Amino acid sequence: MNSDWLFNLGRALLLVAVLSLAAPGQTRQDAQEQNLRRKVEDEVARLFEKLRAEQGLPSLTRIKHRQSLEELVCTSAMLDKAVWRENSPGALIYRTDNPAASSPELERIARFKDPLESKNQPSFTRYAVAVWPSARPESEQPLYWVGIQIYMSAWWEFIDNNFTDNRSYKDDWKKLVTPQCRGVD
Amino acid sequence: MGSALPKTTTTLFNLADDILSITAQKDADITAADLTALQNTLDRDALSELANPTTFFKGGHFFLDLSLSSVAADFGGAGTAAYTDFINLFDPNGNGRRYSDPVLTTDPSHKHHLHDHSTNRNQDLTFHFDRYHPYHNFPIGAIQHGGVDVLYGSLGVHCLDPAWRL
Repeated sequence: MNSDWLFNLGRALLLVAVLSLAAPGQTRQDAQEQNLRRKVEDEVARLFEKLRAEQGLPSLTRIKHRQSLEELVCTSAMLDKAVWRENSPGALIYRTDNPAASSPELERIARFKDPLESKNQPSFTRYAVAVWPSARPESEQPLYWVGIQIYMSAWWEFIDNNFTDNRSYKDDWKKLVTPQCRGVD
Repeated sequence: MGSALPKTTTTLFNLADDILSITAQKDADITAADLTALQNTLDRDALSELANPTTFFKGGHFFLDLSLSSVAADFGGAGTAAYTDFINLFDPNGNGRRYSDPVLTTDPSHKHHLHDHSTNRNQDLTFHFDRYHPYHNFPIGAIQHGGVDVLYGSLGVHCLDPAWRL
């Protein structure tokens, strides 16, 4: 009985020791992966802006970190399937092996123009990019899920999210997020 | 059209008319056949809403739901230009859209604002009317929308969208 108890205690201590050694390694790996994602996001954003400039379209301000898009793209990467039913001209998620290169999807969203643009509609003035590595690569070649979305100005988004009936819908995107992607950075 | 709920019926069919009218006028790649198919889908959806008991319509807003897969089928598939334009007009991946007054409806007495969102995990669109447009004549429009559509529209009982209760 005593020896069993000691044996179990020893196993528990060993497990704690292994976990405490592994955790910093895991954190380092997460930080490296996050840095890589940020770098790729910057490349996609540069290309997006270049394509818009080439089309003579007004420049959009980049939102450096958009939590909703991060979580939705993370979910797409985990499921290996875009979370939205389909892409729209101003919001798309796609898979690619070379996110820094131009693609039909990137070219399409870079050409985005609001069909309802008028003085009575808030303008779309911002965009965000999120990139996640695919959780199910089919080969040695890394695959990425890229999400790009275009947004109205921060002022109008604040009004819309807080003082209109959109307040009840503003967090609906969370219903599409898998548990392992909640709160990812 | 059922006569037990005349205002509800009018509202649902006005919603359908507005969706159809906006699509006809702003979807550059739409064909007459696409519009006929969409009209049939919208009419079916409105009738299906009307089959609900009266208690279903309690509360401020009620909605006409439209399945995106039905629209894709009506337009010949999700890859067609007409369907892409439709998605752009109603923005299911973002915050939806608000349409301006006058709405392009067939009912000349109707001056309300069509507003939509995605629902059912991004599979459907849901449409309703707002009496005031929060972006118009800001901040007056936002205050009116907040007071009437959001607060008053959510109080009280039975049954009608604020656009038709007043």
